Amino acid sequence: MTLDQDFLPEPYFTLTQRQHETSVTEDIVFRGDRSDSRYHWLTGAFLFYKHLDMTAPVTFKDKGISSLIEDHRNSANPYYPVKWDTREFPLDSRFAIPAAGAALYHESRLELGGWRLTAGIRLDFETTALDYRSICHTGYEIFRLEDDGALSPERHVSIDIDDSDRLRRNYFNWMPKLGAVYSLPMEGENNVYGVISRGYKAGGFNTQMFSDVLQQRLMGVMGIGSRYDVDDIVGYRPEYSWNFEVGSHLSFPSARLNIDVSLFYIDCTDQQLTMFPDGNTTGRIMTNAGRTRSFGGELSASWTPVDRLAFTASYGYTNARFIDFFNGIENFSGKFVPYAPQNTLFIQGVWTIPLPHKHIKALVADVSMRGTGKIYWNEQNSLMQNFYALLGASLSLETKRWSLQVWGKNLTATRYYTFYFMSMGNEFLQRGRPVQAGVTFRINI
Amino acid sequence: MIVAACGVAIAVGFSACDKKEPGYSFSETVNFGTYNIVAAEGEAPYVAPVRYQYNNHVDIGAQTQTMEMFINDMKVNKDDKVSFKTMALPYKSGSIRIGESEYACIFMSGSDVTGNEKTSVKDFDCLLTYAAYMPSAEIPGYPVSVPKNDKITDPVRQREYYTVMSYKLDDKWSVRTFWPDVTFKGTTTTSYPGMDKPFTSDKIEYRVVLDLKKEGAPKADVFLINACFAPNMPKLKLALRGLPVTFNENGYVIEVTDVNPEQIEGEDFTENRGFPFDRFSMTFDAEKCSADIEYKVKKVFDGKFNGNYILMLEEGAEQK
Repeated sequence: MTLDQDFLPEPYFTLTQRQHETSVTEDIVFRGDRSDSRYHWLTGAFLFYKHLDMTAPVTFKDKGISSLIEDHRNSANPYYPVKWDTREFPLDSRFAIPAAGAALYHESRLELGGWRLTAGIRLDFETTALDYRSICHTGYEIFRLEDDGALSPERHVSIDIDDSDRLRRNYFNWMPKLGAVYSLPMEGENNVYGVISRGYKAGGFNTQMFSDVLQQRLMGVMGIGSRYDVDDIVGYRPEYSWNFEVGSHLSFPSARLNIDVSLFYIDCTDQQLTMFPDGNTTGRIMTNAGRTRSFGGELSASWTPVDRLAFTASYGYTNARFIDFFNGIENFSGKFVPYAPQNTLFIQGVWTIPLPHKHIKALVADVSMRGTGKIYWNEQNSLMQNFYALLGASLSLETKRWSLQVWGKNLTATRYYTFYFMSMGNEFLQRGRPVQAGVTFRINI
Repeated sequence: MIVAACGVAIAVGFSACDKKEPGYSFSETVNFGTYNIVAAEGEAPYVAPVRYQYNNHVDIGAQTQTMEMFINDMKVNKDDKVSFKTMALPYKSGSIRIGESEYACIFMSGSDVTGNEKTSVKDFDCLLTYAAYMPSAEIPGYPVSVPKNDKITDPVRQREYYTVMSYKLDDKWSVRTFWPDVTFKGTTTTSYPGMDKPFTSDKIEYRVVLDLKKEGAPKADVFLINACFAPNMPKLKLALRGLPVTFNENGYVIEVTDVNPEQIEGEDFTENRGFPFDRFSMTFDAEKCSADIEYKVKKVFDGKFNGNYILMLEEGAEQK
């Protein structure tokens, strides 16, 4: 894939990325699940190995060379201006990222009357490395500005960068879990439950920052710019959380109604966040916020008032804020965590009409509405996407072996944005898809 | 007095134990190279390379470690030489962390440490340390010079401690040691007309390389790495080369006016008339391992720096 990474009409630079990934996983589980026993258990081991090879050269083009490099350098030393040898050159970055891990886990479940008590533990070890090689071979001419304004060649500077190193990270974590479910003495499957668990997401490496690392390295050779500490800027730490959830699964067979409700609270430290570095940089980095907390709830229901007519609805609310996040420049404590939708809504009705045809079994009409928002796009909470709803509908002919569906999405032509990012100090929003319609033909093999 | 206190735990300063005796003990004599500034009243300071010798004795059974320093025929001026030694002094040893690396250090002191009757040694402070800052950028043609013994071929074993020592000989000669290629790190504050508040940076480094070999007055090449005089200004690698150096009892002073720096670019230097230095002055204190630097650039930017070339710890302070 080659991407115009500056997203501007001027020729700044492009990124060409190739990836090849190999992974192997194995999960071995032993269970003790006798139906005549009140105690059930499972124990297992999980192993994985993953290897990613990636090349991600950034090609600087004419405008990128002139405004990001030449102008920068010439403003620092205008009496000896420079001109690049070529109007295009690559900053080549190559990576190999091996990762391996192993986990041991156990869960015990004890049934005591209407109670089901669960206790579990997971021990997780992961090791990952980043072998990188950054290459740049280019050069430029230094001129001397004479008194009459003429430029005389002073000397040539060759830039030959070939840096390589290996960064390593090892992570060991333990994740306990405690849960309790009480079966309510009602018709159908009804219960209330509570769960406490510890969560973890492994850290890793920001390969997208390497073009900036290499650009700063190049400018360092020129006598401007500072050398990044690769280990500091490229790596990000794991994220840890304590998760608390209570809820209920309710079933009303006579009313043909099922309801699920839950409330949750998550206390997260070092939450991993996507950020876009300041200045004329490209790419995004994963960084760690000091501490965040989220709370909210989910409600879902499914209702089949009559045969062949089903309704589904779900709503979720999340309030996620920074408790402690200072990025060295600005304090975001109290702000909403970006990219986390505050409300999600889904409503669907499906009507299945059986057809008296030898081959065509049914006509299915489906109408649905999905809603999302508000979403904040940045840590400052200065940009956001308000709540929006998308209407969809479809009509399907279904047979035993095939189905033909005519569908439409965003039928009300709602205008919305799905993503925000920064590049070269400019802000971009990705527009959501407009009205769409199509036909889908499926065959069961 | 050097403000330095390394870890207090007794540590093996040098090498192998003698396990024949019930309480292990060992002795070893080593020597480290450095440069002296010897000053006496009425005489110009005398600067010369020297190698001090150290007898280290560690008694693990008795939990003691002592060291005596001695030197033979040390030149105190062009004509006179002195030989002396200190008494065996108890010393502290430990390590200082810089980033991911640990650096050993040894410290001893005493007000009167005279070891023989011939020459008195007073007001003695001695810090032997590896914890010196290294420049974060390479300077073409200026590989970093560190204390080492060229007679040893193994590059790891070649390395020697930086010697930071001060003492008084016979109540007459005041001696300070220094190293001629050091990098100072600390805080630079720059002000210019119209700014809301002074611009502060702890990223600007000052590497000073002294040329003491050539005949005539000593010269200094000063390199400013990550030089930056205002926020949002590009960080520059600048050089001020061939500056006059004046030694005194405490260290040395560099002062110059109206000089254009060179920009360190590629494998060479390019004159940079865009940032002329109206004034540059530096005062180096050998005992404190510190430098105070002031400069004015482009008749607009006033910069002030204070920092050290050795990582100094105060008693009980957190290690970096």
